[in-house]
Amino acid sequence: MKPTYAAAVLGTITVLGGACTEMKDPVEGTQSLKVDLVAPASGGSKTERLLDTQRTITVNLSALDAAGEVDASFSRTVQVYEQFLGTLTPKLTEAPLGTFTVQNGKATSQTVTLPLAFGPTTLWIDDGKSGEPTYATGTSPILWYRDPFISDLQTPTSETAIDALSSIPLKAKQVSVTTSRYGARGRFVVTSVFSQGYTVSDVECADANGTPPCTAQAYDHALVFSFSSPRGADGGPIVEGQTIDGFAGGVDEFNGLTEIGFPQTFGGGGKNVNKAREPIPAIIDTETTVTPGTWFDALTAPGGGVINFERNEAAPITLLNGKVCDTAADADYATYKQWKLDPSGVGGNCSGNKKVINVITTGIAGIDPPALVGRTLPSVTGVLRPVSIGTFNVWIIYPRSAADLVLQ
Amino acid sequence: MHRLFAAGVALLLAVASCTVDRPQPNLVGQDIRLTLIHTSDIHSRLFPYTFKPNTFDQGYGLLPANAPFGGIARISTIAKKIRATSNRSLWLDSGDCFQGAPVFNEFKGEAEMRSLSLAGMDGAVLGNHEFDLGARNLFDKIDNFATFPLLAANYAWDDPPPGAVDPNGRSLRDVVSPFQMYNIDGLRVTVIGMGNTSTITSIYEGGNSLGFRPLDDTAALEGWVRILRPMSDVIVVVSHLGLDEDENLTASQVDDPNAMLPLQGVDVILGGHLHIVTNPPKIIPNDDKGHTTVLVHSGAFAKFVGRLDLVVHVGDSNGDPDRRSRVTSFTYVNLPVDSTTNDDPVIANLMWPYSVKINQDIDLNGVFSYVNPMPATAKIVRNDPSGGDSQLGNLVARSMQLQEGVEAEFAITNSLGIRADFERGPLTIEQMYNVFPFENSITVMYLSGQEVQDTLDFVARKSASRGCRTQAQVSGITFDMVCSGDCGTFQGQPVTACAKNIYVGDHCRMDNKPDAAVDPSKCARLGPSSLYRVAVNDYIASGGSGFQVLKRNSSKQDTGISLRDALRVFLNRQNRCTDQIDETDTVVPQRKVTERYGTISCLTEINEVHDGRIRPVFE
Repeated sequence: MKPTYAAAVLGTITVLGGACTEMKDPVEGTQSLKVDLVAPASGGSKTERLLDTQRTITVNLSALDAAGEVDASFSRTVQVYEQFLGTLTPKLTEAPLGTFTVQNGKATSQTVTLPLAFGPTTLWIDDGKSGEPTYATGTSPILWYRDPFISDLQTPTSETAIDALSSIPLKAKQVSVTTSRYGARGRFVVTSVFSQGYTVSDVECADANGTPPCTAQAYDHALVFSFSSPRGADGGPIVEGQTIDGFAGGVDEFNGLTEIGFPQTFGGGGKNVNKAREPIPAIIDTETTVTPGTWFDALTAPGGGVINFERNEAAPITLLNGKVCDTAADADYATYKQWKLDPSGVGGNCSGNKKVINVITTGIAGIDPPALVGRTLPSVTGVLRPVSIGTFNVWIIYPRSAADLVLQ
Repeated sequence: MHRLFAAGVALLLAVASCTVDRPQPNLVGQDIRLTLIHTSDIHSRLFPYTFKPNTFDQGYGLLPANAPFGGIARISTIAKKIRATSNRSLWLDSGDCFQGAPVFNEFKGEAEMRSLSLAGMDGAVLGNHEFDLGARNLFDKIDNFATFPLLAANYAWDDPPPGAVDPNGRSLRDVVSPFQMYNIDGLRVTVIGMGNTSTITSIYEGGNSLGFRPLDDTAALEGWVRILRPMSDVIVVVSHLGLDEDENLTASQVDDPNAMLPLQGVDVILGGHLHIVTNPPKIIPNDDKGHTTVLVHSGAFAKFVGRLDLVVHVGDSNGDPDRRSRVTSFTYVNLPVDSTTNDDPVIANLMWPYSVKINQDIDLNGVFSYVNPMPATAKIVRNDPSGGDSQLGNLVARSMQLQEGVEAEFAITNSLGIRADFERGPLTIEQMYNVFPFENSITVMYLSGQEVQDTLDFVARKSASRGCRTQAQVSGITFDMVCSGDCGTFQGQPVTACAKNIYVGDHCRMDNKPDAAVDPSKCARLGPSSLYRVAVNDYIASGGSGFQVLKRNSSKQDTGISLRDALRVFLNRQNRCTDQIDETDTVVPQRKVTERYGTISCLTEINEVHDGRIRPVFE
């Protein structure tokens, strides 16, 4: 045997004999927290939802080791959160809903009351904040609460709170809205379509067949922002007046406007169209009426003042007998093509006047705002959107077509 | 000699067959937490860079005060911190780590593959920009520098063309896998890659230089899920398809009795390509029992690292939908990559020589223009709020049109080739790379009036589908981009988007108002049978982004002149700065631009202002 060959064989044998199996230490320590539901007795199901009032939850806990047995060495305080609509409430970095104390790997009849929950919800319990956290985690069986209505994601926690116009309870949640709050008589009707999305209202029709007329209440309206042309599940374009099966997406408050972002629309595009199902637009209450409070007053005014705009956000509304303000020196018009209607009938230079409505008619053929300056328009209807950026706070209506403008 | 060879083979086999043995924990019935670290569309932002975070960025915690942003050494630090707070973790990337900063132009992907490997990435899908310098370059970079698996289950690797093969006959099909399985302390995680197909148009057409064919996304994924689900606790799809395509990978219309539910087995989709953040993650129903798939996109340009914590209830039979492991809950955060995070010194050391070499070759900090449009908060934007032509787009198109040796009647370029705005302040070479990362050149061609009409019709159709936001930028030509109107019929179906009122020339609109009609006395109406000398970029000239009319044209001549260089030349010719104060100078307040940077041009709101050369119209 030549030396080189011998060396190679010897090396091979050495490698084969000595380095082929690397032994690693076994996994040790607490691996998870087992969560057993005590009360309610059942978490419900997709078809049988818990009541909104069933928010007090009782569970038993067990810490489990790598063998799947109770880890008796685990005696710690663990944190409790709830997970629904895609996020933890509160966040892991915030103070938890509560804490449970586990002794010798066990904790029994631990109770927490959930502040708010929609859809499939789990308790999330983890050991992430102790001195030497194990990061062991456990979740409860699913607690099936009802899915949110449009009004759940639009209605502020308090209509008189200082942030009533900008705060929504489900911000940053991922919602799926497929159920009308009006039950069998309810429908989701598209009230406007624009190049980057559409608005939809939860309406109550005359019967379970969806026979018009259909009406909507406060906070029944939402804007679905698709960024591109809105399309249904079949790829067909969404059209005004159609009834959809629902929508899903992330809830955001973008410059004062509640939006559903990165949406999915359920139901085919352009199907089931009946414009008669669209709710009759609310009429903006102005200084020209005899009611004691108007929509332009403060939140604390009789009738709620400006909260009425918020109640109709993303809904078609109508302003009667507004006077067209000057456009020549109007920065809003020059920059954003927003012209102004003064419901008080004064008009003129409306810059700085907070009691006016901005209007955007870009894209509507035959409307030349400068040519309308000084005229009192009998009726202007449009879908309402707020824009609130720092000190720039306006309500804007977007007429959907020339038919929404009665010019004389 | 043959004995030596035999011994070598034996040695190789011995090494290859070595195994890791470890007693496996019994996780059945337990809720096991798994942390997925997610990055996507890093686009070569391996070194920190400066830009102004938009509203969304700031909402996710990327604050201007914490500039500069990005950098692989910081990402590595964040990944290590995440791993330190999780018992089981996996770092996955959704593709397009290539292209977007000078380090890629200089090193062609080597720095990306080396740094991501050293930082501990566990796997990545191929993005479309990984192919920017060809299949052979990608193969070389993976083969030489990547220690993590590159995945794509929806590519069928054909016999590769000669240019895609190394001297040993190896090519991408030897280094790209459809999936990878991981055993993370007893939790079996399978990751399947779904590469981009919509953007790499060359794979659909003749002369496929990349050597693969795209497979149907759903069919490809379904096949692998069927095989892998029984042996996996968690199936993660790491995708570079795009959001809509990701959603289509699962069955969301579960109430539809006819709906096929082939992909119920996918637990998580980590997506990329669109540079978006989905926080909270999307929750896609995938069966009629309330089970869901979690869909996450974690942004781009190394601005964020996503952290997705899953709780996996481990089942006892992963082949049985009723008994298999399930994700029972999750939480997601996206962590900003900014100056509040320290560099990982190991990665910083790796990157340092690259930094030195780049700065030797390119004067990245060199300033050649100053951006100070009015009002004082303005910048030069690539997307005009109107949806029509933008100031930056106009500057780019004009620079192409007027470039010496080009001198075209008009110019067309795609909007997405411009990747960022010109921020206020000094315009550096590095910013030019960030704004124009692609090595595109100017192509000159002769188009008939009908071809111009067809091209702009295509622009209008594509723009209409994207919120009536123009997908092209032009100079020397003006038209109405009808996004909704009467555009005739095609195969019996009404067409609602097209280009109308096309005129050749500048400042064509009445009173120079962007939203006014064209004044026919100022410009010449496009003649269907006339012939025009047109400047375009070489990407759309070859059919990129769907510009098929340009692809078919046979008069093309690539000038080899870089778009970036043409723009630089053009900007240098603009008005010189005079008394402008450098707003960014924190050392010597009120110092003049000329005192700090010498004789350079100043770009204001008047340089190629938005003038309605592309006017969005809803009839």
